[in-house]
Amino acid sequence: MTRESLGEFEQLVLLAVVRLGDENVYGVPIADEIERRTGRSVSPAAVYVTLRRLEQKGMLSSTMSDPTPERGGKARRCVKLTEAGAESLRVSRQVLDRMWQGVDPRVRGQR
Amino acid sequence: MSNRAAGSRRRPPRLGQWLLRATLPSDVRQDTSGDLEEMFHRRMQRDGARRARAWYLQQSLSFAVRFSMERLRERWRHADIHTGFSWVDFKLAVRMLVRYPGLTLVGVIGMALGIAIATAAFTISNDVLDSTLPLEEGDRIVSIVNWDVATNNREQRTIHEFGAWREQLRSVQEVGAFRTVGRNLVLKGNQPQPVSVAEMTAAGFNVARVSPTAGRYLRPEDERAGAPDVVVIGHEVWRGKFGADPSILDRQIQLGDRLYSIVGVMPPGFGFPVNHSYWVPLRLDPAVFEPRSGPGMNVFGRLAPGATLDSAQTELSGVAQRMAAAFPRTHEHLRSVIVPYAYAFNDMDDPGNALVLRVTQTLIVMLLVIVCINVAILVYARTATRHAEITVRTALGATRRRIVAQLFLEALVLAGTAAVAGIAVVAGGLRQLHAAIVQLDGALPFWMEFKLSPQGVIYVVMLTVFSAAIVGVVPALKATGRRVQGSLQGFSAGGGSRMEMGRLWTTLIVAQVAFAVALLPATVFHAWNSLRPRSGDRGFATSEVLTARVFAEQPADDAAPARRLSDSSLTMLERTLENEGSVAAVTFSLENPGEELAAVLEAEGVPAPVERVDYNIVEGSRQGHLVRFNRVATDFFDAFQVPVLMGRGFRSADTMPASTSVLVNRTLVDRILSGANPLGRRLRYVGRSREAGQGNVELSRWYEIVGVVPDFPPGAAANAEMSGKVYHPVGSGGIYPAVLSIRVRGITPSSFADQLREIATAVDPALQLRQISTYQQAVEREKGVMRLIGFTLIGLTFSVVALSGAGIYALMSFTVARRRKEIGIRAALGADSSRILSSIFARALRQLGAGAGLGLLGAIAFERLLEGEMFQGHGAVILPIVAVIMCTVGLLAAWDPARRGLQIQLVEALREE
Repeated sequence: MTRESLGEFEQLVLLAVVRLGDENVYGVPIADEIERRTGRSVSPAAVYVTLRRLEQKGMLSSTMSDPTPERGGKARRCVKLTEAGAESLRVSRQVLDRMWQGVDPRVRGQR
Repeated sequence: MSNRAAGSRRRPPRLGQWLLRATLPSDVRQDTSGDLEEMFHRRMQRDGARRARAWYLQQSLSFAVRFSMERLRERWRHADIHTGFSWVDFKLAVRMLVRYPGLTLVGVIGMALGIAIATAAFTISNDVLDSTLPLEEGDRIVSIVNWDVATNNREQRTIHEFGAWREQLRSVQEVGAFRTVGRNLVLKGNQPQPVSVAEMTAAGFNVARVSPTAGRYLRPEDERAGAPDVVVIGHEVWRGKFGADPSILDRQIQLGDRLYSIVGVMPPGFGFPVNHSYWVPLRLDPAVFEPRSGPGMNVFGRLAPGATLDSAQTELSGVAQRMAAAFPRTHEHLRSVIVPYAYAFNDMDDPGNALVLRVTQTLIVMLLVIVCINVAILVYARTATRHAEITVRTALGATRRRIVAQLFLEALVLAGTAAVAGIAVVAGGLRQLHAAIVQLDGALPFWMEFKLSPQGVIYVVMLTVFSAAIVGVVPALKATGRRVQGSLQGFSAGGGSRMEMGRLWTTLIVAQVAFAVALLPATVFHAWNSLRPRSGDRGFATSEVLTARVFAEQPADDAAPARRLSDSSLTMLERTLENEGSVAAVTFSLENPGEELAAVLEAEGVPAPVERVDYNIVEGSRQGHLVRFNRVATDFFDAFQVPVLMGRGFRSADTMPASTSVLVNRTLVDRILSGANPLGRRLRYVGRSREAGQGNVELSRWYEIVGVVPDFPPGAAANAEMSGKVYHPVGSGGIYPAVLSIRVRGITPSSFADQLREIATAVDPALQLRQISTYQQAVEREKGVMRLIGFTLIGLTFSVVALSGAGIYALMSFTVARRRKEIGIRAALGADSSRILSSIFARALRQLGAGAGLGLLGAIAFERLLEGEMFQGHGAVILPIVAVIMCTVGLLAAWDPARRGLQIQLVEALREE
């Protein structure tokens, strides 16, 4: 299987999923987590489009919760990182690390 | 606020929910909208309901856009599998455009013109036929018209029926009426200015369902006799004439001899009933009018809920039958018809006219088909040169569908390029046309606008796909047929192209030469007619003459249909003008010289022509001579310095009602009286054209010729049958409206326009001067429209001839290439070049000859069908010329391939094989 490289936003979404743990991880907290950590505002639509794409690529799996009245009787889709997702994150990290190795400390921000 | 409204404000907006339902993929629709709803409630608690709803709407839009983009991206990624197209195919198609610039140029120009003309025809006929007014439920607004089936004329005097319709019809609501009257608008410190005022019942505003931007509109109580005089004005008038005065309401304006209080201002663009900007109450009581009497009116209404045009027509016919029983004398031939509102104003209440429009549109699309067939021939010839490529791709496993799809995409890119150019041409052309019509006729009705609409663009897209299907799919199917397998074997054994110009293409070439020969003569003839320099010389100095139509203002309560100009007013105006130092001559007539009206004439002792007159004759017979007539003042010819060639000119005694004296022009004497002495001969009208109007022609009355004048204006003589002219003498009060012609000296006519208005107002404030212009301006306006038509036809003609030439060239090149070996062997065996050439040309000549022959037969059939309208008697000259031109173009196109055929060397030909 050819491994697809991850875009920056895809990495952010996957990392947010990892950070939020195993329970009740869905679009709303993911968007909040990215906003909180990166300090930039995130379009919910971008998060949902990315979640769907990552699931289609096999990097996330999802389960549906029971419908609740406060959501207009609609179920919630909770996501979990798959092994393939974790592997892609690791590879992306390694690629970046290798690229950073030997880079002038002033560019790396180390004095 | 009610509980229900408050509850709905605490829910996400429906529009947003609908947007999400429509655009989210089904697998994530439920949970995603659930998450958004959750966020919405959170926001509502934090920011309040209003901001949360705005946020939700914004988010649903953002989701809609993002997921739609994602879906497109996915489709494009998988496009190759599902549709047979890929990005690479598209790049290849663009590369083909660049690689064959000749074909691209010819194909794009031809198709662009075809698409532009077809789209213009679509836009115009849609504008004319589209019955939906740009108003709320505009398709339910209707006109009710009376039609006299005996004279095939609209009966405009419907005030009596209006009362009955308003009371009795249930399937039409808000039945109202209006008439347009001319008034002089008098504003302090300004010249009186003629304006068109709608005298309309209050129902008109209810039908339109448009609220005023200030004040009120007319109410039924305004229609009562003795009610204060009120007027509603349009937004444009409010801005243009009153400087957008915020305290305009209750201000008084003078229209004609009365003061009106402004009670309302309508919004921008509002022009109901036609293109009006002033509305005053209609104060006519239908009960006081006898049937078929009173002023001309237009009656309108709105279909009741649940009613259709058919059900309304059934009810209307019932009312009409009762009226016919009550008034058999006046209503025997009268039919009441209910039509979409706009049809009563563009002659589409006559179903024949709508049919003619649709047929014309179809014929124009047929022209595009011819253009596409020509391009298809070129594309097929190009495809033939790529036969090896197609064969190899087939061998490598490409399916026939895949190759056809690729060739179709190439054609689509070609047609798409043409469509872009076509849109530019049609947008510019429609703008020109709109400007030309506005200049000729004043404003267009408020519902008409000649510009490229979204439907027009969809039509262009459809034409483009249609053109691409002809240009791409037909050659592709031919090129990938059963023979590909056979040619694969031939190709592997070292053989060349095995594609042939089969029977289909030969038939197409014959057909298109036939089409060109059948259609070109008419196009060339009409193009010439539009462009020939006729109006430059009207037989008098056009730059010295100022012309205006003189109307009499209708008094507000006058119920007379059309007031005759009072003798004294016009005579006094004429006298006053004659005393002006800068005026050389003044005269008046019913129509301008060169714009006389048509009628059918019979000359005593001269048998009527066998063929019936082919013209819009609405009363009497078509059996006779088609002539033009004018009613002119006795000093008309003196004023234009036209001499009397024979007999005498008009005298004042000739204007007496019992007088039968007429003058005729030279052409009438030559054509109808065969050049014999015309003095004392008698003439009478037997048929009246629609344009001539009822009061202007008295059928069956004998007139006596007392003199002959030259053809005036002389340019019109070229238009054979139209140039026989009869002039009737008339006194000042005899015609309405009158055309006033003033020849000036020492100044330019346009500088006299203001002075003319002042003099007219001083003579009689009720006199209205409209369409004041110099003859020169009238000529220029007419020229502009004719030039547009002429150049369009020339463009079309050029593209048909060029494409035919290119098609034949491609066919000949291909044939010669296929016969290289045979020609080489024949040359090697000593055949002389003339024999080789004749064998090459024989095929071209056969096809051209067959095409030209069929085309001539078609043209003759057309000519018969149109009863001589197409060539106007010049068919015997035009047809052979066009046939020869087409054959010459064909032979010239064949010359270069034939020349190359002669240079083929046997060894080279064999080595290539």
